[in-house]
Amino acid sequence: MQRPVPANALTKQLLDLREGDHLCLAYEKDPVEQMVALIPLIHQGLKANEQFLYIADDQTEEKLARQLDASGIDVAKETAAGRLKFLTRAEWRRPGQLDSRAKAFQVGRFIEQARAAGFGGIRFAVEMTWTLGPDIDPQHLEHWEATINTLFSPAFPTRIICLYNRSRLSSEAILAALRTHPIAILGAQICPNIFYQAPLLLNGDGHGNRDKNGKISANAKADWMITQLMVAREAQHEHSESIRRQTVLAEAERARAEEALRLSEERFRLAAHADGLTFYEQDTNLRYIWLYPEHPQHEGALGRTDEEILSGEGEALMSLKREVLASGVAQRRDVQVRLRDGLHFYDLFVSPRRTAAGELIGVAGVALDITENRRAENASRHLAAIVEFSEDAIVSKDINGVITSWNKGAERMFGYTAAEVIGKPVTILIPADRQSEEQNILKRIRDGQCIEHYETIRQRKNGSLIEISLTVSPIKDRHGTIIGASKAARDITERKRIERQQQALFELVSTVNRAGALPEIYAAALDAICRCHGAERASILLYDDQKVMRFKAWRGLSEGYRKSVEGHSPWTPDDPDPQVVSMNNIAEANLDPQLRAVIEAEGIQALAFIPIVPQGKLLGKFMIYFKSPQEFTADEFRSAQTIASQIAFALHRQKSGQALEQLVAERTASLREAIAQMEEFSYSVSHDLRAPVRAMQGYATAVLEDCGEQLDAPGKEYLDRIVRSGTRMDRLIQDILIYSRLSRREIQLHPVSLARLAREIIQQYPEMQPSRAEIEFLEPMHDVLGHEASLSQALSNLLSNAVKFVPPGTIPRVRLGTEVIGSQVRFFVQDQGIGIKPEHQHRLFGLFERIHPAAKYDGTGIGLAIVRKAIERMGGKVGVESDGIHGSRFWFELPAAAERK
Amino acid sequence: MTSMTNESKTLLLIEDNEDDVFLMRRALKKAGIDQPLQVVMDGQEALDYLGAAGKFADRAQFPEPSLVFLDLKLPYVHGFEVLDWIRRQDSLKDLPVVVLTSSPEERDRRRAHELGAKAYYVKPPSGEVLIQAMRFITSQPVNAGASA
Repeated sequence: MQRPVPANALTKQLLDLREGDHLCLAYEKDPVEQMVALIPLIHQGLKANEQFLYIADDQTEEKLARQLDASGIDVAKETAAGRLKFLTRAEWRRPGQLDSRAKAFQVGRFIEQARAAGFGGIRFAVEMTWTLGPDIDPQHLEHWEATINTLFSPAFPTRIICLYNRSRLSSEAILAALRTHPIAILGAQICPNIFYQAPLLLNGDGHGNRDKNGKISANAKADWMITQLMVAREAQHEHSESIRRQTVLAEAERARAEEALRLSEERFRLAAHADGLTFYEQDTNLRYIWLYPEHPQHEGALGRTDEEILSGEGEALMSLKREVLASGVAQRRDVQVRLRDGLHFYDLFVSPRRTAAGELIGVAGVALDITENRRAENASRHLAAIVEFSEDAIVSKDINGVITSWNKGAERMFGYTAAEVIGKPVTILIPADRQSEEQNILKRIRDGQCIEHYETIRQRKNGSLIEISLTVSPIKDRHGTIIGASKAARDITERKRIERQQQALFELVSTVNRAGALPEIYAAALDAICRCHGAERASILLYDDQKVMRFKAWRGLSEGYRKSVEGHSPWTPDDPDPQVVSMNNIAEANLDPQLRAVIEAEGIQALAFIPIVPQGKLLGKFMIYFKSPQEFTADEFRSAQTIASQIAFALHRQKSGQALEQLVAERTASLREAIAQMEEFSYSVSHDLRAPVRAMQGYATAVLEDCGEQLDAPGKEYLDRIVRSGTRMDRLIQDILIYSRLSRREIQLHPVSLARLAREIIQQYPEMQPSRAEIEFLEPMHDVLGHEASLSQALSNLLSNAVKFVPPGTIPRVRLGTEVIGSQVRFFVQDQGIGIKPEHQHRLFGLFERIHPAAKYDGTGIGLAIVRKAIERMGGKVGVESDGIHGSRFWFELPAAAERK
Repeated sequence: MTSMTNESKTLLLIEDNEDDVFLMRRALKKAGIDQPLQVVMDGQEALDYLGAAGKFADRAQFPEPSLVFLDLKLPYVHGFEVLDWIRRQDSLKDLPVVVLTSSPEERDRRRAHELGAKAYYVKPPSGEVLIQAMRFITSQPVNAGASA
């Protein structure tokens, strides 16, 4: 609800006055009585580094100091620091009339001095009775006290506590005090003073708000009062609104509220128990007279001493309390007490109890059970030790990424001391290109997430980079609020190096296994060696035919350097067991001075020779160069030796590969030559061998035709035989050519329609025409995968046979068809010819085999051999079924062609 | 009938085998083909004759042929080279050439057709085949003045 805007300066002044700035403490007799109320205000002020000015009676000053000491304030120390100051009457007040203006100036000066001295505020306690004297003019007092209310500024906390002794001041003076203090202290309680009137109302503002009699004008008073009423009305309105709301809610809330109340009381009680706090008071015999909270443990404690209650174990408590009784000074100490359930620790505060007159009447205080804390402390000390001496860097930071703790591990890892980095942003550890990581980490931490084993790179104080595995987890306070994060970082530089080595080796082995070309393998090997050993330069040298090591591949070496060092080797070519040689520091190595100069001029400070020794024979070497001295042992070159063996393997394989290739090339060449010769032979056969046969036939025919009349019957018969022999010879030659051509022909398989092919063949042969033979197609006929020309040859031979071998005078009847057998198609030619007896069938497909006498059935004995050769060349097989009486069934099988959709 | 239309047309046989020349002459005669037959015995002579070069310069004695029978396996210049050469002569581009060979090889047959042979016969040629060949002779004299 909006407060009404203050109507005028009066209201503003009223509202600006902060609660507690000007307090009135009225008492009956002894100011020391009132210390109970005053002491918390003094404590509070000193603690907040505010100055406390105590204007007191010279005679009571010492007593006051003792009282303050007893309450736990180190008076000597505070006084020495200027924080606590006792002022005498002379220092505070000039004799004579109380001049508000001069007084205000004086108070203003005190305030200024306190501010200049660096205090956070100032508090005054003023024993008014004493400083004013009993006969003070109430008018002056009122004016002064009202004036004080105008001195406060919000910029510098100021409090003035005025102590009034009722028994020694006039009622008018007390009335003036009551009108001018917004806050009153009664007993030990602070309460708003409902009789308070604003200074403007009492003193006016000096700007004409007085009437002609010099009194504050009725108008000004009315203004103030109306404003007061408005404030009151507002407050009342709020109050009645809240009552109305409460009334509405009351019924529904009552049961719940009661339950809540019951619960909260229970919780409070439990909390007191849980916190382990016990408040107590004891008399001078240290018998308990009061204990809070009630607890079964405390049963029967009242009226007894610790010694009695704890049956002999209360000495530690008793002795501290006796000390306090003896000295009259409060004490606080940790004590151990053995209880039934074991050793307990208490943080024990013992304060002397006194009467108002200062008489010691016992002790009072608080005992806090810190047993759990002690255990927790021990545990956390243990943890702290673990953290401190951990190998890992363990760092904590607040929610904004500012480093708050830093262990030894972190010092070692990053090079900063704790003093250097605590309070700095954690981003100083992050390389420039990774700064954004921190935002992501913080975001996740704020969301309560952990980050585990996050591999990243951080920067050391010296700028060098370090690879780490980071685990970050949120730190919560006991309420579960995330207040920061702890980070554990592990140096994984070495692990990463090994990983990179393995990766490099893996890539090299892959390259070698891919059987890459040698230059590719050399490059991969150089890459691998540099990565494995953190070197920038490396090279591979191999022996040439003259047993001189020559550079085969290199990285980062000048031509001049290569020329100068080529040929140098720590081993002889026939060294049976060459070992790795490393020169960790060229400057100190045992070297030819000239060679050393060359190496140093190249910027090389350390190097290593790794022999390449496949199967015990030195082939060459692997060199690694470093630009700074190293501390290697030969053992560290194991991965280099692995790389060397990979190169050796590649070289070996290259060599065997070359030998094999050469052998293959030679064989291929000689085979080609043989084939070419064969071709040439075939060509000669077809041309030249047939020419004389042709001539013989030609002349024989010519003789028969031209001189036939002059020949007798046997003469004609002989010439006839010459012609037939010639024809037969020509056929033989042609068939042999076909057969041999089948053997060497390159064939490719395609889908072929056997039905189409068969029909084309039948058309070409006069003896297969319908007039001379019955050839039936058993449809459907399946297509096969074959080579058409070879198939055509096989098919025509089978068909010729089928129509040829029939008893004289009969019309050959032939059936063609296919069967599917798995993925194969079997094509068959079924004839009704003379058949072949099973005992002859095995010879049927041989070259120059004839089953039937040549006189009866014409043929060269090559036809079926051609069929078998052709089919086998296409990956198929051939066969015959016949009982030797009822014809034959010749077949061949070839892969089925995919069905056309 | 063939003899009637092509009476004055000379045939050229390019053949190195004397037996084959004899049998060819006889076969032509038996088939009733009586055009004058000129014979050259190797590839080089064939080129000379067709180009009217050297001893064949006299066209009166060695008239331009109207049809050529060409063997493939010839001394000096192979039959295919002769065929190729003929096809590259503008004056001879319409001269019909019939290959007469003892090679039944498919590749030879294909090559011959690629080089523009009118037909491919395997020896010995039958009478029907020879009569068929006569039909390739064009009715007009082939480039009568081409040799000029």
